[in-house]
This record gives sequence, C-alpha cells and structure tokens, in this order.
Amino acid sequence: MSALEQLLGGFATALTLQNLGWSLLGVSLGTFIGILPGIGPALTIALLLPITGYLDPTAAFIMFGGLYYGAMYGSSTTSILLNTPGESGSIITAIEGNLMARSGRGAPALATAAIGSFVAGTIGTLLLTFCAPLVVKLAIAFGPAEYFALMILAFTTASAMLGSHIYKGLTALAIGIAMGLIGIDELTGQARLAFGYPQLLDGVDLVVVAVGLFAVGEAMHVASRRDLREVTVETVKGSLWMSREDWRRSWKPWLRGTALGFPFGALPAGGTEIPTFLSYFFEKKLSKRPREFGTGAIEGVAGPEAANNSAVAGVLVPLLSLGLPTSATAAILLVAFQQYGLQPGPQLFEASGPLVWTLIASLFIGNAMLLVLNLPLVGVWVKLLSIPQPLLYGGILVFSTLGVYSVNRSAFDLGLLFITGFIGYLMRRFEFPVAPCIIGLILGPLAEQNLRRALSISQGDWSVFVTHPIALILFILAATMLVLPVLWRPKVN
Amino acid sequence: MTAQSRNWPELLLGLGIVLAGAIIGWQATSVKVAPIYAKVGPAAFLWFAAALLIGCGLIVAWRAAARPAGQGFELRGPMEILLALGLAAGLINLIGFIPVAILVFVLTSHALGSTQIVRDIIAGLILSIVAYLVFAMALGLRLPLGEVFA
Amino acid sequence: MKKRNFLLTLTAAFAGATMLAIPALAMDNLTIIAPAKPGGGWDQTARSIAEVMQGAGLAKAVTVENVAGAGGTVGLAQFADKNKGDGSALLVNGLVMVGAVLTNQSPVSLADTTPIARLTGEYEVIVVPAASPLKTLGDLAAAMKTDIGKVSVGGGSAGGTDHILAGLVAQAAGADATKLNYVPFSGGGEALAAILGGHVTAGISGYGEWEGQIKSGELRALGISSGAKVEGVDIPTLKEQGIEVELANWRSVVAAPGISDDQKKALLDAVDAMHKSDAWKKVLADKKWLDLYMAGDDFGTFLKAENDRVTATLKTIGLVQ
Repeated sequence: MSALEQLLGGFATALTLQNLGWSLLGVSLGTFIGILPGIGPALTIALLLPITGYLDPTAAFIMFGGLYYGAMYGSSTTSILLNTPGESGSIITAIEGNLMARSGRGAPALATAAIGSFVAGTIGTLLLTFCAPLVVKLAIAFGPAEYFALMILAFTTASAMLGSHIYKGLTALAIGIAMGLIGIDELTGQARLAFGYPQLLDGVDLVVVAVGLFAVGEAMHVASRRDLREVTVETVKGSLWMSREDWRRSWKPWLRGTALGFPFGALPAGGTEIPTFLSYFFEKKLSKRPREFGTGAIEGVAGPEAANNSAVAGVLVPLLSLGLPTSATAAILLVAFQQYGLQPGPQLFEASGPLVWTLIASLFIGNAMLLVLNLPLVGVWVKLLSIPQPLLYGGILVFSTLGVYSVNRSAFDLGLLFITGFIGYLMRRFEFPVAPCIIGLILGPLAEQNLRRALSISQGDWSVFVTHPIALILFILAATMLVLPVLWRPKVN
Repeated sequence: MTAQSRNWPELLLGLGIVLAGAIIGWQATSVKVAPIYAKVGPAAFLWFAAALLIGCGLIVAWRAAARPAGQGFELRGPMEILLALGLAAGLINLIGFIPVAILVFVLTSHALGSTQIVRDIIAGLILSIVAYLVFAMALGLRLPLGEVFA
Repeated sequence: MKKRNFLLTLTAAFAGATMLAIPALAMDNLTIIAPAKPGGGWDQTARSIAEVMQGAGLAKAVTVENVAGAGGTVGLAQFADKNKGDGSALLVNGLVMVGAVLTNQSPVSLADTTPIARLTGEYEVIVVPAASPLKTLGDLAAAMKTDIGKVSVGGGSAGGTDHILAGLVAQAAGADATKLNYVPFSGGGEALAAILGGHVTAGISGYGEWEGQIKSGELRALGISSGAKVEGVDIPTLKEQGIEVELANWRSVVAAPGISDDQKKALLDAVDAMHKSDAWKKVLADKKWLDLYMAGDDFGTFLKAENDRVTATLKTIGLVQ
C-alpha cells in the first residue's frame, strides 16, 4: 500500500500550523464566494493567480483546494435559505431545500447538506486516492456517441421535475434549450439567435439565467403577492438539529449521491450539475413518500448536495493524473500548476509526488474543517431568514447585480438579468416549474454538440449509437427510466 | 378581465410562447447548413426548440381559455424591481457600482412593502460600500466607479 | 499598498536604469486590455507585460482590464471605439482574433488598430494516440488523400488556430480541404480525452498543452508547425516531412486607431525596452513562451499577410463565405 504511505506523508506536511492556516483561509474564502451568485471558484482562483509568484506551491494548492470545496458548501447555504444558488451545482438543492427552509426546517436542511457534503467529499477524496487509474480509463472511454447517450439519459431525469402540468414543464424545458442555443455554434462557428449582438456570441452565461430565474424571479413574485409579502417565516420549527428520522432518510441519499457525482466529475464533459439532476430523480423515484417532493423532502437536499461535492473530488482525478481539466475551475488550476513549472499528467505523481499527496491530504483536512465550521453556524445562518423581507431581498438583489456584472464585467449581462428575471417571474406567476429550464440550458447544448460530433466522426452513420456498447447501455437505461416508473411505482404511503 | 371563465393573462402568455417559437423558427431559416457529413446540422436543434415552444404555447393558450384566472396579483412591486434592474443595466458604467447598488436596494425593498426610505438608503449604502471594499480590495475585482465621477 | 508600489517602482527604476536606457519619458498610465477572461493566454500575456513594464519603470501605473467575449472581438470593438486616439492603451491579441473577426463577421478588424509588436507565441503539434496505425505525418497525409472524410481531426474551436492548421495541412497534402472532417471541442480537456480514447483519428493543439502526454508516450507527435526544429523539442517539423506549412499561434499587442506618430513611437519604445529586459526573458522562460518579437512596420506587414492567409484558408474549409 504505497499510496497509503504516501498519503500519510502528505498528512504530515499538511498538518503543519502554517499549512492548516492556508487551508482555513481557502475554505473560508471559498464559503464566502460560494454564497455569492456569479462569483465562483474559477473566477476567484484566476484572480488569485498572481499570488503564485509569492507562495510556495504546496501552500497555494492547499488554499486553492480548500477554496474549491468551500465554494460548494457556501453555495448550498444560500440555495436552501434564500432560493438563490451561488453555484450551478446547487441549483437543484434549492428546489426542496428552500421549501424546507420556508416551513421552518432550514436548520436540518443545512445540516444534511453539510454532512452530506462532508461524507461525499471524504469518500470522493478516498476514491481519488485509490481509484484514480480506473476512473481515468472510464473518462477516456467516453467519446461523442457515449456523451450523447449520457445526455439523453440525463434528460429523462427532467421527467421528475416537470410538475403537475406536463405541458408547462415541457415549455420550461424548451425555453431552456432555446436559451442554450444562443451564440456561436461550436461546430460550424456561426452565430445563432444572437440578433446581431456581439455580447451574445459566447452564449448566455448559466449564472445570469440561474440568478434571474431564481433570485430575481422570486423577489418579483413575492413583491406581487400581499399574502407572501406579509408572511413571517418561522426560522425554526422543531429541532435545530437533524432528528433521528432525518438521519434515517439522509444516509442513503448521501451515499447514492456520492456514487453518482464522482464519475461525472471525472468525465471531461460531466460537470457538477448533471449528477444533481440524476440524484434528485433517483431520490424522488426511490422515496417511500414521493408526494413529499414538492413540499420539502430532505432526500432532495441530501442526495444532490452529496452529488455535487463528490463531483468536485472527481474533477481532480483526470486533472492530476492526466493533466485533463474537466471543469472551468480545473482549467484554472492547470494554469496554476503551469505557473510553477509543473505539468499535471502522468509524470506529476512521480516528479512531484509529495506535493500531490499533500494536496490530497489537505483536501481531507479542508473537508473536515468545513464541517466543523458549518455545523455550528447552521443556527446563525437560519437567522438570516428573520431579517425583514424588504431588506433581505434588497440585499439579495444587490449581490445578484454585483455577481452577474462581475462574470464578464458587462452591463449587457445586467440587461439579460432583467429579461431572465422577468421570465422567472412569469414562470412563478403562471405556475411553470423552473428546474426544467435549467436542465434544458445545461443539457441542450451538450446533447446537440455531441450528437453532431458523433455523426461528423461517423460521416453521418447513425449506427454508432448502437454499435458503441456504452452508448447502447446508456440508451437502454434511459428508456427504462422513462418507462419503468409508469409500470412500477414504489409503495405510496 | 371580467369573465371568470377566461384567463386572459395566461392566454396572452401562451400566444407569447408561440411567438417566441416562431421567432426561433424564423432565425433557423437564416442558418447556413454546410453540406459536409453531419446529417444533423446547426439548424436542427433550432427547429426542434421552435416546434416544442409553438406546440406547448398553443396548449398553454388553449388550457388558459378554460381556466379561471389567478387572484391577488399586484403589478406595482414586480415592476419596481424590473425598473431597478433596468436602471442598473443602463447606469452602472455611467454612475458606478455604489449608487446603482443603493438604487437597486431601495427600489427592491420598497417593492416588498418597505416604507422607511431613509433606513433603506442607509442600509443600501453600507451594504454596497462593504461589498465594494471586499471585492475591489480583497479580490482585486474591478468594479466601475462611474464615468461621471472620473 | 500605494506606498509599497511606489517603492517597488522606484527600486525597479534604479535597477532598470543600470541595465538599459530608459526612454526619456516613461509613460504615466498604461491600460492593457485582455480581450478574454482571467486565466487564459491573452490574460496571462497582458498581466506579464504589466508586471515587467511596471517593474522596469517603463510606465508608472499599469492596469489590466478584461473585456471577454467572442474570440476577443468584443474587446476589439470596444477598444477601437472607446480608446480611439488614446496613446496610453494596448490591446493584447493574436492569430485567434484574426480568425474570430472573420467567422463572427465583426465590423471592426485588426486593420482598424495601430500595430505595435508581435511578442510571443507557440507552435502547434499534430498528434495521434499511441495505438494509432499512423506512424508518420506521411501516413496521415496519405490517409487524408485517400479519403479525407474518414480522417477526423479533433482540436479547439471552429475557425481557431487548430482548425486553420488542419485546413492548411490538408491542402498541402493534396487532399480536398473543402471536405475536411474537423471536430471542434470546447476548451478544457475534451479534445485531449477524445484523442486519448481514440474517438478521433488525430488531434491538433498548442505544443505546451499536450507536452506531458507526448513525453509520457500516450500521444505520438507527428509534426510541429515551426519553421525550424525547436530547441529541446524532439519532434520533426511539418516542412521536414514534405508538408510545406508553417504556423505559429502568435500573440501581439496593438494600439488604438488614430494615435499620433509620437504616441506610437512612445509605445513602440516602451514595448521594445520591455522586450529587451531580463524580466521579460525570465517570463518567457518560466512560461515556456517563444520569443517571436517583431515590431512596428514589419509587424504591420506580417499582420496583413497573416490575415490574407487565414481568410483564404477559412474560405476553403467553408467557415467564411
């Protein structure tokens, strides 16, 4: 077990007071930027890149690693309490999490998110330690045909979020797909739906849409209803801590979410969002109380939160072992490695083994630190809800404006926020579900590009989707997921 | 909006969705499809989204005609928030982040029923200065200070 | 903060004065616009220039501004409009922008700016997975000539440097470049993964990006797009193997349109002094950037020639009508 020995060596380095300090700084900063919509770990690490000139690589990567994990924690907090996801990976958390918060169960929701993130982060980091070579093989086995099949599989999960009127859910999905098509077509380089605006050529940023649909749409909706405006939210109803029942309902979703998230993070086009869709779908389908979904089911928070954190661990596998960045943050981390003259990839473990193992050890430590920091704060966070609504929403919109503006430093994006906010309001006003819109926006372009890439490689031969075994299996799974719930339903209490 | 049996706003929304679909379809006609190998070209998904929107929009409009309208929605609040965002988009480069943030804060809290404008202005001022300092100083993020003050 | 900067500038100015002749009038303020998000190649170029210039006292205060979007054309359009006649601003750009201007039908092109200097760049490599039956560039060229549709080539965005090289190579190999089967992947590692997994026949990218995989033997480099062999890189050039193509993914700086000759000279002098400094040489060495320095009118001529070549190639591969 040389990996274990090297990991212990890594712990020895990471546990110095100085490195613990860098880790603490990283996780704190990460939590903070995670809370803010628009400002994510990729942007923050990019802004912090100049410090690589002053810090030694071990300290810098310990801080960056903590920042990456911390952002995921912070983001779920605002997602649950304020229905304003800070990062795209916790959009799905907002669905059930915010409903829980509104019925006075915000504290258990935050707790299950924090513990789930810890469990997923720890297991994910363990998998990173011991299963990296295997996961890398999987990541490479996925070509365009396999990705297209995977996207179709992920699309079926939207069926769990379409709401009571299917046509309204489909409308939301279609709006998302249409928004995803805006900008330069990846494969032919021509503009679509840009209406002559150069700012639209790179597409509409997911952050702008998420903040518009969630934060702005929500604020407008509340402003339009006297009954919502004057309601006082009970910040805590029942226990502040998770009940025995909550634990019982959470642990399986944590593990399932972890299992879903890790491989997705490792896939070059996977990301942290798609496993949260899948996790939500599975938890709703497997729940003994599917009816509770839509009123604040704890499984709907526990699963997706575990999924996005384990995806973050997954992202590091191809980054460290192949030099393959699979997310925006990973791409910036790659730049950071290169700043130090290090080339992530096959030789990194040999050439700079101690650095890598210290980084991995510090991820375990950062993760534990986040749990210790976040759990006691749960009680403080829920107090956010007792701020008078006008001030609370005023603050949310100020930070939304700030976050959206700083994505591209562009006033044009604020104009887009105006439009997506209005759409978000209309969707709430006329009871359209918002989640399918996000699913369409994320999956639509990925499905399109990979379908067309696959057909380009095969010179227009559709049989690739059947002759590639992984693709075929994924298609069969997708069909099963659509048909099975109709034929067989879990017992409803 | 007298008839209880007709939901005019939702009917209009349905027609709006149909219109959006039509615009996407119209855009799809102007996309050039090079005759290289891919059978699914850059216009295919546009047509798909257009068709889905038109179909769903028609259903929304048709169902709306038979459903009573929702009650108790006010327009003033949401419009104030939209106004705030519109001003933010139009003015941020001109007057800078801090005044825009105060504007957004005050308008939003007014939209949500606040009547204490002085308190809101002070709260907005503090919040935006803190946000500005944290971002501009700690992260080196460049936020606009406003051209008129330059 | 301010004090520290001042001291830094002062000491650096003294250090600089002993090494090289500082232009009589160092510039007061210089704004460098990176038309991309923080972290990318253009952003790093901008930040390195800022650091070196400020360190050498060539300008008192240098700020970097990111205006991202559409292959840099958003930044280019804003620069040509807002900074017109402004002698204290530079825009970082490169070959990618030449292509983006064409594919995005940008109303503003690099011809609307004042060329200053080409600074750095990187050569491109053509690779195949280790298990590929194609052993040499000749094999790839032959395969392209036989049936170009069957040779799928993976790389970066449509119309970018990788795509242009694929088109040039196909033409030089005597294949029908209008039928080039180029498969663009969005940034990150998607293209790399597709090549490692054997999902495409070959791949094209900047050498630095895949250096690790080439050295470890997971990728086989068939050729590099430089004119002569690059020091420390054991890959034959395309020309050595009978494919008459040379292409560098260069990066340069341009100034705003409508500046006076004096303003232009001041900027040229500052950039020239920066290029001569040891600090810049260290940046190039640290980041493994090639020194492709070419200044003033030479660069202007080069820019025109490069624009013509890229236009012709993009027309052939069907991206520009």
